[in-house]
Amino acid sequence: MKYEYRYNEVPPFRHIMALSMQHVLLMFTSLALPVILGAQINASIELTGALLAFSMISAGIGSIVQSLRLPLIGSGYLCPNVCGPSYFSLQVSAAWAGGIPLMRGMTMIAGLVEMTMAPVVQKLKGLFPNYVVGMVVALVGVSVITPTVTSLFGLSYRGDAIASGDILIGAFALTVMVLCNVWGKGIVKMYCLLIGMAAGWIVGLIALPAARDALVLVTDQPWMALPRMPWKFFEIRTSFGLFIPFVVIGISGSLKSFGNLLAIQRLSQPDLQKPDFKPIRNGLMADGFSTVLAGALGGLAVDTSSSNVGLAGSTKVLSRCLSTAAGILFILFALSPKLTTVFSLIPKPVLGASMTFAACFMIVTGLQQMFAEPWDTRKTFVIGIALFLGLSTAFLPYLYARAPHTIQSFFTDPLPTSTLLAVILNQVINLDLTWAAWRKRSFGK
Amino acid sequence: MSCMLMALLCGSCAKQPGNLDLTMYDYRDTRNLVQTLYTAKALLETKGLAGLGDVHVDSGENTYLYVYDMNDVCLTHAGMPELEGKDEHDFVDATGKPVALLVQRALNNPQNPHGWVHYIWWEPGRFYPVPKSSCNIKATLPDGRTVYVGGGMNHPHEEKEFIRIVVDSAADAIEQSGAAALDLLKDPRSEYSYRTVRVFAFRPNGEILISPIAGNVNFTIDLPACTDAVGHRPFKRALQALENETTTWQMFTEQLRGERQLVKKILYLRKTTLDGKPLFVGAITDLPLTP
Repeated sequence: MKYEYRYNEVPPFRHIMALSMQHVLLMFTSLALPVILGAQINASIELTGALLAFSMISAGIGSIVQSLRLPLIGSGYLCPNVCGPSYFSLQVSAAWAGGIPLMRGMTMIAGLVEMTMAPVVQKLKGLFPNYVVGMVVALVGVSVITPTVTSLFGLSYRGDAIASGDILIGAFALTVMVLCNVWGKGIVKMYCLLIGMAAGWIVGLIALPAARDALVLVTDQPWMALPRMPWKFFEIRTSFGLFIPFVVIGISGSLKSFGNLLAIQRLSQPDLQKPDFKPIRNGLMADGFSTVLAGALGGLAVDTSSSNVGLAGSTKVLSRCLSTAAGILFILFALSPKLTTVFSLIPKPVLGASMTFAACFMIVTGLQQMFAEPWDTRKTFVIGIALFLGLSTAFLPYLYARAPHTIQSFFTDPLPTSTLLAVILNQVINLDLTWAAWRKRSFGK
Repeated sequence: MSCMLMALLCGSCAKQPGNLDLTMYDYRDTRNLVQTLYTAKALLETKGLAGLGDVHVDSGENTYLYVYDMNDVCLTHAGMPELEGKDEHDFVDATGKPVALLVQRALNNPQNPHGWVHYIWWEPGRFYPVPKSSCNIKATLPDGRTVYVGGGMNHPHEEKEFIRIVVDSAADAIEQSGAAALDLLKDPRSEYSYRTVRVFAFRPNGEILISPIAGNVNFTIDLPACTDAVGHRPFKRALQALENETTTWQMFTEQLRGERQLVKKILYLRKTTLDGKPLFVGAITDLPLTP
């Protein structure tokens, strides 16, 4: 693979700024979540603003920590943090049931679960052969299909009308990104996402009167404003009733980040014969730390971003400096309501196009890794059954809604369900080989 | 390909009536319908009935427009041309709602600026009833006649604005007519009940004048103690909010059969007075689901 910048390289400053801006624009796609959460709990403008600002600060710090390679924390890869959509529904429930203090407490518990999972994952490295890792990486791309496609079509609510203008803008932005990446060279290839988003935004401003009208919102916002905490810092609550769902979502979040970290490792160090679990463990630790921090500050739980990993793969720019710079920029934007408002006005189909562009690389990277080694019928059943049942959670949600609670707890989303099943099936189907290996080790035959 | 792109672009750039505030609606479908009707109104007022032209029918979404005079005689009906010339004043839907009467009341209700009426209809050519919400606005033809133009959505989205209209209208009716208004508010054929929405009223001491769940009140419900699917008490919180406000919106959750995630609903409550004593009037509806 020909790199523009390797994961340990430091690009020139001007490139760092522009390239990290591409990542920041993708990170902005998740900022709808704190705003929606604010609306759903009837929050005041001040409270919603604080949710947004502290979510951004947590994601920014998380991105910086993730890019470092400290002894126990930080993967040292380009793997920025965003607000985690998988936590959203539970956080809304917690905020409804016990207000922001309960939401903060339960988010911190989910983060602690992730931190606890980190060393466990390293111990379980024997459970993740390369082809299972490849499936996990591919499913990370699959897991963003729903938010990506609905954004691409400009859809806000289930069952609502789709505007032809949104389809045009999304298709146009995606076409520009892809063509710049495929036909472009050097700077055009490196900045394909930025170019595509700018082109899509301009067409959006021309075609959509609502997009032009919304620009008025920018003028009322101040350039700089320090976020204020409308809640008491030490007022944190927990609830036994919400404990299990938050533990399950913490484990699920760990598995998703595990997939992201495996993907970025595969992209950053393709020469590795097997996954190096030390940076993965430290990355999961950083992910959990960021979620604990988000809970402590009062933001939404943060998670590693599949879209940003995909962008790194598509542009061949893997320098971890970009994660640091993107984190710093994200924190600075949290302090600037005007700039945050500007970026929040990027048309939804343009954001959908950028997420589609990034997800392509996640899926293909995973599939390549999955089929890189010789295939046999054992793998067929491990992957086949895991995918079949894992993907069924997305195709048949109503079926699992009526399933026994034990089944519901494990059959949540395609990514965690398929991962868990693949790990179990890989052990079960290969029991004979394990037994033979054990006999050979023990008795020499 | 280029023709398709041009068609899409032209479609997206279609001129919309100016100065029309539609921010109260969550769904694009609802906004599109109201915009279409205001476009139709403008055409009717400049060109008359013949001017409706292309906005008359949008067969793709099974949306069609109709025009009635103020005596409920059908002037034009794109969905059912056989109704043209007929007097629909006494028409009632499958649940007994007097649709034409409700339209007339909606057109004269300041709380209902877009004339929303909810009833049961059917898709022309089909044989089963469907829930429908129609929007109706007055227009003055070039010959000076006043008519109303309307159009509806089958299987409509539940908008928050719809319960704002019925609750505020109910509160206004109570303030104007006192206890005499309660009979109309209780009537399931009135505009104050539609689909699963029902306007209810209760006193601060818990006395329920119109039940949120039943046609009569033979049992007591301690509304502030009622909880949702996650233990949240929306009425308790609403009553706390109404200590300082006149109206409040409170969200809560419900577990639906076949849904993995909790669905969100919303309570709208307004404080008013009846016989000089405080009274709370409210209704509940669904909130939009994320895609």
